[in-house]
Parts: sequence; structure tokens; C-alpha cells
Amino acid sequence: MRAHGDAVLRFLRRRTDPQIAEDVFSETMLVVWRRFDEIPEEALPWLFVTARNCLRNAERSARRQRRVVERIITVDPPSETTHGENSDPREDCLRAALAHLSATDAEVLRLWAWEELGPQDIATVVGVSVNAATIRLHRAKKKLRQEMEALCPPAPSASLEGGNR
Amino acid sequence: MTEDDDLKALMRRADPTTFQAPIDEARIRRVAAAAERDSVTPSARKRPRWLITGVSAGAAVTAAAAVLIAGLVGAPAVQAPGPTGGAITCDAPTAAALRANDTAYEATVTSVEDGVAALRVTATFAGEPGATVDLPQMSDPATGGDLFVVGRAYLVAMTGGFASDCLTGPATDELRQVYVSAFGNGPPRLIRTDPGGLNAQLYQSPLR
Repeated sequence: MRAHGDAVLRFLRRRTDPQIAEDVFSETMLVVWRRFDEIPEEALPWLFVTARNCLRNAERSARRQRRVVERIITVDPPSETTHGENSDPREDCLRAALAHLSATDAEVLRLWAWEELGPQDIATVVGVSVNAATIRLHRAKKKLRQEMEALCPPAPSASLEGGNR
Repeated sequence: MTEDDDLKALMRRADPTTFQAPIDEARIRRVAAAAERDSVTPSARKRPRWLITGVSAGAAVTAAAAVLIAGLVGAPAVQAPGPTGGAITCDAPTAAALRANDTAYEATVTSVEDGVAALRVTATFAGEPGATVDLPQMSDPATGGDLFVVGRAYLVAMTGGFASDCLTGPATDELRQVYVSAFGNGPPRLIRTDPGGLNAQLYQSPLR
């Protein structure tokens, strides 16, 4: 059975390179233990927020260390981990489109697709109301499709917007 | 498939973790243990009992998540008392607390290596632990030292894959009686415990 620790580490791995993810995961666990009494019943969003804050701290620290800063990738996921030999061209397009979105829109989409969170949990992680998260998610999907259409015009049958129209 | 489904599927295929090495769960536990050792809390490091045992059946889903956290953060961490000397405190095991666990069994430690104890299950009280179980080394609340010793038998209660610190211990008659009280007093079960088969034999459950 997968534990929340697994989910938190994956959350970090999706947002930085594996080594930094490991380091930040250790820091996150430290914070979790120190704030153990504050963990809510719905723990996962809280853990993601904690992990994200620890990652931000690491980023701030890294910016002061020029050699390290290049290892941290905040907007686009680690490129070295994303290219399989048989990768779908649409995946490359999606990565490029994702990088064109605002940080919040991209994060909302990652939380939706990769962490598989619903609007309520996304709202907790992003720090907005549930209604705002719902709207933001809807708009982010639309923007992502538009970016993909703009960056890589699809064949008529492969369009994400409009499907089989 | 809706447009959203299609987009989500495409995003999932672009998930960077798909191409990364699998997550080492033992490492996760070690990191959590180190976190507890290194943390300094203002209060005694007394584990929130509700996160480990005593949850209601109605809260099973929430409890499962909570127990995972407790397991991650707490289970292996007491192996080395932290700087505040925070050994856990345990109430005496009760049948009610035991019944909150999904798996309970008696097992003998066959090896301890790199902080992981391998146990051969000799009797099952609840759940399906399988013939062998690997557990992170735990702390003996009585001594503060390592709990699992090769060749000795233990009673283990688990929820969500994590052993309870306070309900797991050496297989004494006293503790076994609590397990029997919790999980019934039916006829002893015979289980095969040697997966190798060459020396397969049937062990009689200590139930009763």
C-alpha cells in the first residue's frame, strides 16, 4: 500500500529534479513532525502545501548559490525525465504549452492531473476558495488547449478542442 | 472519452515521475525516522494515540490516511530516541485498540538487516499478512533499544501496512491473551509457514 510519503515525494519529483526532491522531502518530513498536531484529517493537501513551501525555501536558498540554482526547475518539470524513445509528439507539445502558462495555472493543472486532486483539495493547496479553484482549473484547461493549438496546430482529427466535431 | 479525460490522459503521460526510478519506500521510512530524531518539539514527543489505534470503523478512510502518516512519521522513529529523549508512551494494550487494526499476527524474526526485520508468520489473528513480513526495526518501549531480535516471537498489529508501536511486542502470554480477546477465541488455525516447501510444516496457532 502506498503511503502519503510516496505521494509527497512524487509531488516533489514532479516539480524539481530527483536529488533536490529527496533533500526537500527530508525537510518536509521534519516540518511534518514538528507540526504533527496541526495535521488535519484530510492530510494530503496539507502535506502538499508543506512540501511546496519547503521547496520554495530550497529555491530561495538555491538562488543564493549559483551552482545549485540551475538544478532547480520551478515551472517546467525536469526535462531529463520526460523523453521516452516512443514519446507522443503531443506530449512534447503539452510540455511546451504548460511552460507558457502562468505558474498558478500550470500548478492547478498538475494538481488535477498528476496529484489527482479535486477542486476542494486544489483550493487548499493553491490557497484560494473552492469556487475560485474550480474556475481556475476550467480556465487553465482552456488555456492549455489554446496554447497547444497555437504551438502545434493539430491534425483535424487530433484536436483536443472540439473533439469529433 | 471527454475532452477533459483526453487532456488528463495526455498530462499523465507527460508526468515526469513516469520515467524516474521507483520510489524506495524503505527510504521514505528512514527519512521519516530521521525527521523525528532531528526534530525538537516543545512538548514531550508523545504520539497522538488516535492516529495509531482506537479509531472508529466509521472513520476508516480517514483513519487509514492518518495511520499512514503516523506510520511514516512515527513507526520507525523511536528506534533512536531524539534529543529531547522522547520515548513514546503507551497505554496498556486493550482488545478494543487491537480491533482497530486490520492485520494482527504472531511471527518469529528470521533476520534483521539494514534496519529491516524479516518475520515468518506463525499465526494469523486478523487480516492476511502472508507467510513472511518485512518491518522496519522498531523500538522496545521498555528499553528504548531495538525491539526485533532474531529468533524471538512477536505479536504484531498493523493498520495500513504499518505496525503499531504500542500494540506490537514480544509474544508473551499476557499480550497474546489480549490478542485472543480482540480477535476471537475460535479453534486454532493451522497455517503453512515455510514457503520453501522443503521443510514445510504446519504450525499450530497459539489462539485459544
